[in-house]
Amino acid sequence: MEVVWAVGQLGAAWLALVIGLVMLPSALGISLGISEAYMWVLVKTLEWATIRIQKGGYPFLSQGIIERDETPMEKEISLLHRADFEFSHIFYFCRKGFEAIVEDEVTQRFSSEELLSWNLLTRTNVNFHYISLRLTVVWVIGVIVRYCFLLPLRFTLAAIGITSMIVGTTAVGQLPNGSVKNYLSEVVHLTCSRILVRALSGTIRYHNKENRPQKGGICVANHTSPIDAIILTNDGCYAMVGQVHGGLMGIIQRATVKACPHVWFERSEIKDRHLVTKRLREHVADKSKLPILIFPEGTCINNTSVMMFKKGSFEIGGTIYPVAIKYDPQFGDAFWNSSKYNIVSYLLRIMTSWAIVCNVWYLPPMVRKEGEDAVQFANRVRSAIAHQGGLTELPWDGGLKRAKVKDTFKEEQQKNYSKMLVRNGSVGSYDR
Amino acid sequence: MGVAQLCPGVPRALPHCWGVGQAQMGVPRVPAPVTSFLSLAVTSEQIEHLHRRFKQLSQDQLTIRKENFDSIPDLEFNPIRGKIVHAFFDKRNLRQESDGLADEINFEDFLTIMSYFRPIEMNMDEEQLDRFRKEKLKFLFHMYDSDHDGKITLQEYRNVVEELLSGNPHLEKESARSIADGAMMEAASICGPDQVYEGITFEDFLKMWQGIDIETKMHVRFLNVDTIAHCY
Repeated sequence: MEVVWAVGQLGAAWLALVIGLVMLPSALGISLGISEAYMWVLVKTLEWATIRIQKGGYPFLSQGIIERDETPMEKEISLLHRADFEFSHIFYFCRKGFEAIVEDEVTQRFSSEELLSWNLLTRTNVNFHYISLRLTVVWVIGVIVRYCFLLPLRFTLAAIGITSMIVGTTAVGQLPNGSVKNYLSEVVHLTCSRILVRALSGTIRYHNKENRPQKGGICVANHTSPIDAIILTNDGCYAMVGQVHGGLMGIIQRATVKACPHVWFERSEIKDRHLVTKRLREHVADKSKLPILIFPEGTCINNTSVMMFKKGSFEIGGTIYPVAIKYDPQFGDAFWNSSKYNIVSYLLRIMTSWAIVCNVWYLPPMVRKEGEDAVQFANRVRSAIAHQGGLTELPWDGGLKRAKVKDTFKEEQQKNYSKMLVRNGSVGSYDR
Repeated sequence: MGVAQLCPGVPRALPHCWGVGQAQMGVPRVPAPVTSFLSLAVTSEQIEHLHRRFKQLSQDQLTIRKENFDSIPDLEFNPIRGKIVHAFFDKRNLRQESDGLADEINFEDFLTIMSYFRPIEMNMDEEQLDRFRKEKLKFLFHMYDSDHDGKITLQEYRNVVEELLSGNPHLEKESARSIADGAMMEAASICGPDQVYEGITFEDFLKMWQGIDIETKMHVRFLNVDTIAHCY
């Protein structure tokens, strides 16, 4: 009896602590400084760990393993001898082939970024093994802290966040449409977002807040993980776009759409591109509706590069507000490698990382210029995002994660080479 | 020579009793018989990189098959992709006594093929340079000589040209053929006219390349991995 009472007291105290330290500040939008203190301790520990690793004399990784010769094909072949076909032309392609086999620009974007220094998480210990006793002890303490303390805390917060979102939005959804409903819906969404961000120990820095997406616009960002949406809604309200799911996700979707006009598509509707574009266009045309949030890459990329943007989002019209999101991998890897982990193990990994630290840049709004087609516009937006976030731009399609290169790409290179030969007039005329 | 002495920078793995996480922590990083590649003044980190790349290509199996090369998008661009992949499995390149094609290759074979693309070292003497050059040219010769008979015939040569030019729909087969014939005539003028009809042997091939600097064209240079200081 007494044990039950004691546990009850403990539970009540725990709940009071959580409400007081997390929920109220989230609702009011203020910070108590607990996360800052935690981050400070974390940074100091990791700095110490880095110095110890360096003292251990362990070499660091470079950004690539081979030196690539970027001379264009024409120059290189003309240097070799004459431009007529020679045995030697095969060198250029041979070397390019070997370079591709040793190191491949595209596939490495679909696996997690390798860190330059170990951040005391087992999962990033690809290259760093046993280094010293002190480091191992700190690592063990880290494991205990992460799994026994942080994980339950984060799990509780996440549960609270999700339940309050469902309950809150359903409650607000009962109200008649009007400005009161919109205001309350914003409050509920923001509060729950903030709770969820705290649940991940997220430290987010927003830059250029004056460029924040306005109503009736389209917000476009690079995609690294499912929590990108939470990162962005932490600072503003958006209308989400997506497919209707089953299970918990489906419950959340049905609840939130009552309070705020999110755009959820049935699986069958998503295949019909015209229907999708039409619905989104209607949404954007209504200036009182919240800006839509779209991730044009279509799949999660590992946050070192930005891949091809699908042109569908850029055909809707309206003003595009690009946003660049860059995670700091030192504290936790946010990238979801969907071929390796399912969503549950992914969330578990996120909740047992040190923290999620990222920078979000709001870029100035862009519109499609005269005579620019959707693809060119998409590339322009993509360059702006990549430039701001310090990411490389790759012309490849995110779909390569699962599919092979289209044949049209393959033929390009062959066409270039043969054009070059023919241009140099060696066809049908050889008088030696 | 144990791995620890070969690769002094690689610390030992955590012992199994820690029971921690991934199996990769208990497995030795680099297989033992890599002495042939190590004579190339390549550091242990670079071997580790290649090993990791091998594992990625083989999807964590011990050997690679032809199909594994399909997963490299950059390679798809390459018109002679087929020949390059073929070269990896060619037993002549793998320095095996028998002839024909292997079905699968392990990491040591992978390194053997990679060794054809090592860059020249500053401290090589005449004899080494010569051997080096011959090896690279032999690799190239095998790429042309697809029926493994030791000679490059006109037909084999035409095949290569056609492969290189196959993507261009505007170029007819006839033009491709005439380009190939032109180059063979060129070769004939160096080797002597009889050779063109029988096929070019390796000695003639070597003669063609006398005086032309191929070493710098046929290598893949590894970046130097230095210790970098980090301050957060």
